[in-house]
Amino acid sequence: MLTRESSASADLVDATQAASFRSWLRFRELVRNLVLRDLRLKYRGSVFGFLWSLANPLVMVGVYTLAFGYILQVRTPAFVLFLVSGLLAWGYFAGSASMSTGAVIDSGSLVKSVYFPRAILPLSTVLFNLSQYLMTIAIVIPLVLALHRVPPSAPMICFPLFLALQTLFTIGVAFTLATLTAFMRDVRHFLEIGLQVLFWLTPIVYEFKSVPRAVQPWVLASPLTPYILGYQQSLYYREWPSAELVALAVVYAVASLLLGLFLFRRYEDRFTEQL
Amino acid sequence: MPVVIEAAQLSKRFILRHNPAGSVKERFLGLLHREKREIREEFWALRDVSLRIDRGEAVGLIGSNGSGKSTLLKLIAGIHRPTSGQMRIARGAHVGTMIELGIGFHPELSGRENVFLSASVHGLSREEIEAIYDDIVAYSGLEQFIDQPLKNYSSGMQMRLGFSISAHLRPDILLLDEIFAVGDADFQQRCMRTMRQFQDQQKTIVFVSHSPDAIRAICRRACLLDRGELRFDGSVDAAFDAYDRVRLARQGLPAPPPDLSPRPSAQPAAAPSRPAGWHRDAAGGLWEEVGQRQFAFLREQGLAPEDYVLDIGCGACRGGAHLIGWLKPGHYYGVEARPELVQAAIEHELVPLGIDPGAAHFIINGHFVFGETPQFDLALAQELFPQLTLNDVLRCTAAVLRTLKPGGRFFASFYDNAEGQYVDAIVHPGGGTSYADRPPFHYPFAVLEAALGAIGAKVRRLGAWGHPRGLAMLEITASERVGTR
Repeated sequence: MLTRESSASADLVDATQAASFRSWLRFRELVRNLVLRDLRLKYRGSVFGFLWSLANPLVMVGVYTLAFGYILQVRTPAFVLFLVSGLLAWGYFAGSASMSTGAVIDSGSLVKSVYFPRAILPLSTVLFNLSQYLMTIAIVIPLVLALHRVPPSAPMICFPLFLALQTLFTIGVAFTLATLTAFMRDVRHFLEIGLQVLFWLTPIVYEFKSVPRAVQPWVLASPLTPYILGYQQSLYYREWPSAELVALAVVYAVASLLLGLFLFRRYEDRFTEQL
Repeated sequence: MPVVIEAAQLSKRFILRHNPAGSVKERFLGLLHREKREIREEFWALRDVSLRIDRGEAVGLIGSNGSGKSTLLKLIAGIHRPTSGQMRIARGAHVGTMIELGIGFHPELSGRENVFLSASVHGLSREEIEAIYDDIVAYSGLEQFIDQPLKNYSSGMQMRLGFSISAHLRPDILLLDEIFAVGDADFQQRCMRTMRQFQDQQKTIVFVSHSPDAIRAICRRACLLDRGELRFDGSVDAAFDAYDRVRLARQGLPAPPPDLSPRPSAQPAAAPSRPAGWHRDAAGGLWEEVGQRQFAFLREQGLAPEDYVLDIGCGACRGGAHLIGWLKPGHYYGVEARPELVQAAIEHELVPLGIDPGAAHFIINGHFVFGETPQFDLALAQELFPQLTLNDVLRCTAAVLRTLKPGGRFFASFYDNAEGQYVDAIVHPGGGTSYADRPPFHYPFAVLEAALGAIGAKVRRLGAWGHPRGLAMLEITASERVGTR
């Protein structure tokens, strides 16, 4: 009886489907506004504004240069350039990961009162960190290259490739963390420790080639390693990255994205209902 | 008109988590301590709701808190996914939600930035927002403040901005939740005007509100939800009537006796704000009609001004309004479990009618304990038995018979199960519905006759007496066996 009735009104579609039909393209403006919101909130009302987000990485670079270059006397020439190529990108990743844990659960009222693709929330936290990172490297990297009198060279064009792959990888991580945090608040604490371990496991402050052979697999197991190595290849060593390196970067990016999308899409209904 | 919203056997289940294991530690503790274990409870916010709404219709959703109104809105909006059944809307229809005003607002951002943010949350593109931006600002009347951070706005100004955004989203289907509960009279009028404009443009409106006035002003059709079930779908007045009955049934007289002693340390309790006339609704609606009918009935039964009358469940003075002035002063005794109902009735009915409330005695009690009273010629329990279990019917009758004069009569209305067999639900002439297992109850006359007979009451069935919802009347008198205890 009911099916007969429904056929009379064939021009109806599922409400949740109708909502997602309009999805991504329509909601570009929302992504933009969320990123703008976070940027404005961060810098509005502070005297030095954007300079603050330069200060943090620069101080880190200063401290590590002092510790490794002068105290431990690591023999890496142009150590500042080496450090900058990896450390800033690490900051972009770590910042995105920490922020994404709250991406959905801290937007309760938004999620409960209107439909929009929920994935926009973790996505925009990554894009916010990306835009901060881009602003930072736009100033810092030319400065450091000039400092070490490095002329432009062809392998530098690989930098955006690795940045794009790292961004995909980070988006996957953000989806995963946003989902996990909704079910387990401990994820935030795990992440703090995990990031510490990952930082030292990744060849950011030391050169990969100085790592003993036996430990190298462990270093490669850090999913950040291929991206950091990629940046170092293009900016510091200025050599073309090996195919294996690119392949590894692609594999980590795709795997992370698939896992993140799977978890997020699978549990998004459930955790938005529980906010 | 084409159908734009169709719910087919729609159900929505939520899992409520008690002691939610938000952290690993709690999860671990749960393994060791039973009482710390997470308890999951199913909660069906909606059950098997089927409903269709045509384009251009304005439908009110009513029901008490937790009845599923907001859940239904969220399912239409696509915020929630149905657990079973289907929720379908017209292809390409743009659904606008006004479930909360100022969605996405951030206090640190300026009015302008918030307009763009909030409108984009609703899925508008930049061009679309730019096209309506000037109208939004003009309609809100906040031109001078639009570049100020929102935190400098008063809550009224924030609301105006939020509403102005919502009003300009131009959805095809507009879902509103209780926004009339906030804001001053001016704001509410503005809301109503906007709603009417939407209606003139053939937009579909689904409107959740507790305010009968607000619903009446906009809707011709209303749906009553009760514990997730669609209990009524039809005209607004009939829906509120059904709502009254559901609420009465929930309150389930008799209630525990209220604590009337003054609380020394507590703040003076602020009077809960209630819409005018709520006491009439609380007494079951049809206030005037039923009041007149029962007064006429008692006089047909030979009521005289010098008689002493006991009115049980006198509530909103439906009968009192007629009886108190007509009987000799001091001869009317009203019993009611809810003091606030009596208070409201005195204030809004008796005083305006020029009836001296001092001429009546009001006994606030929900346990049929009447205290010191004279012996009554006549007792009345109108629409009370349908709210009582059989045990309480007996308790009530026993208490009443003890206070009656020899030869005194007790009139009680009830829903008659004329078939005499077990029937789940009966629809009576006039549209009242009664149930075997929940209030309003119906009883076979034979059951009442036998049960009341067992405690020494003689019951006569007077049958229909012109009650608008089809309640039948009983005359109960004491047989010789009623003790003097």
